[in-house]
Amino acid sequence: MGDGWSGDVDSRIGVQVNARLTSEIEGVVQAVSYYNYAGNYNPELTWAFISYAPDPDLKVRLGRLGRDVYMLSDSRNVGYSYLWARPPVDYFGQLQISHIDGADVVFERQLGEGIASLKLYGGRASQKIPSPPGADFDLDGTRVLGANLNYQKGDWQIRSGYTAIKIKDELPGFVPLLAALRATGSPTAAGLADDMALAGKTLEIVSFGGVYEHGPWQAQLMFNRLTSKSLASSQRDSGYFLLGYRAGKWTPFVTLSAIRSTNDQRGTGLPTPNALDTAVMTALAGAQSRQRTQSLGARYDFMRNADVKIQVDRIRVYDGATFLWRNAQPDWNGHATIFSMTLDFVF
Amino acid sequence: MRRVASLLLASLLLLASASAAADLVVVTNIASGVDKLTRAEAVNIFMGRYKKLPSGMAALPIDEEGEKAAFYRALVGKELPEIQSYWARLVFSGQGSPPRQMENAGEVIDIVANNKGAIGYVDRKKLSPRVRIVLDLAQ
Repeated sequence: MGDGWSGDVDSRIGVQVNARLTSEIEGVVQAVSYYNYAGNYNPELTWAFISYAPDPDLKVRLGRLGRDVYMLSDSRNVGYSYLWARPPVDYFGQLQISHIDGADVVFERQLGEGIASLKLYGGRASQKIPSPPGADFDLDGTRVLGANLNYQKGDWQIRSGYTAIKIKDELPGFVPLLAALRATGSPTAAGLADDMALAGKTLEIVSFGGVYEHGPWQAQLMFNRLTSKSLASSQRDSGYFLLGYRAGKWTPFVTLSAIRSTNDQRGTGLPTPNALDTAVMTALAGAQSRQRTQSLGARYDFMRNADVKIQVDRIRVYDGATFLWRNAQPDWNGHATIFSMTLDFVF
Repeated sequence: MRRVASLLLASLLLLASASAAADLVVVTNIASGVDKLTRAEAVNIFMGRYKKLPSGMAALPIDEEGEKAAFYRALVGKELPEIQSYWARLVFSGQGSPPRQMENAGEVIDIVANNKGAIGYVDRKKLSPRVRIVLDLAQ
C-alpha cells in the first residue's frame, strides 16, 4: 500500500443497444470496457439477451444476463445511477460473478398498493476472477441458481435473495497444497484437503435489504451472508448502511460497511512441526476478509446527464485478513484512506 | 444559445411553479376502463414499477417536457436529475424504459385520446374532453 493517484481503477466506458423486434420481444446487448484485474482495457460482453414479455407482468430473458442479487449490482457499471464514487468494497467486492449465461423469469403482481415481484434465474458463469497470490480463478462451468423477492410500496422497497453457486474448478492457489496433503497418505491430512477444497462445493448466499426514499432523503441497509462447506469460506457476513440527503444539485452522503469471515483453522494431524500445517494456516488465513469502512462523500449534478462525485474512504483491516486486497505487504498496519473522484455521463 | 435560452426558460418556469404550482391532472383514455387512480398507483406506473393499468390493460405512460419537473416533484418529491438517474439504473439493467417523451400538452392529449392504455398528465387549463381525469395532483 503506498501513496498515489490513478486514473485507471474506476474508469469504464460502456455501450448498450436495445432493439425492439415486436411489442413483446426485445434484444439487448451491452459491452463494458473497464480497467480490469489483468491491468488492461479489454471490452467485455456483459449482456446479450432476448427478452420476451407475453404479458406486462411476466418477462422471460434468455442469453447473457447481468446478475442482480443485490439491489444495485446489475448496474454497478453505471456510476450515474448511484450516489457513490466507489460502491462499498466490503459489500460488493466479494460479488465477483457479474453475469451468467442462462435464463431468468420475472413475475410481477400488484399487492395492496405496492408491487411484488419474484425473479428466478439460472445459468453458468463464464469469467475469470483474480485470486492473488495464485493464478486467476477460472469460473467457467460454475453453475448459478437463485431467486429474489422484491416488494415496493410508496417510499419503501425491500428485497430478499437466495443464490447457490456450484463451483467447478479448484482455487488455483489451493491446487498444489491440496495435492501435497493428499500425497502424505495420512487420512486426516486427506480429509482436511477434502474439507478445504472449493471445487464441487456449493456457495450459498442469502441477502436481505431495504431502501427508503422520501423527498430529498435516501437510505439503504443491506445484509449478506455467504456460507459453504469449504473451510476457506465457511461463513462470510457483510453489510452496509447508506444515508444521503439532496440539497439542490449537491447530495452529500455517508456510508458504513463491514465484512467479517469465519476463519476455521484446522491442523493436518501430521507429526509437528511440519511445513504443511504452516502452509494450510497461511492458505486459510489468506482467504479471509475482515474489515470496516467509513465513507463520506458528495455527488454534484452539474448538468443534465452528467455528475461529479467525491468520496473519502477510511478503511480498517483486522487480523491481516486481506482477501479483498492485492499485493498487501505483511508489515502493513491495516489502515488505509482512499480519496476518489469520478465523473459520470450517460448518453 | 438555444440551450441557454431553454435553461433560462426552465428556471423561469421553476420560479413560476414555485409561486403558483400548475394544477396538474393525470389523464387516461376514455375507454381505458379506469375511473380513478390512487397516487400510489400513479407512482407505480410512472416510475416503471408496474406496467398495467388497474383495469388490467397494458399501460403506456407519457411524459410532457414542460410539466415534467413539476409533475415528479408533486408525485414523488424528486428533482429531474434524480428521475434521470433512476431511469439510467433501470434502462442499464434491462428492467424497462422510461415514459415516452412528448413536447406539449396537445401532443399528450392526442396520444392519450388515440391509445387505450396511454396515461399522461397535463395542466388542468389545457384539458380536453377527449381524455378522462383520473387523478388530481393538486388535491
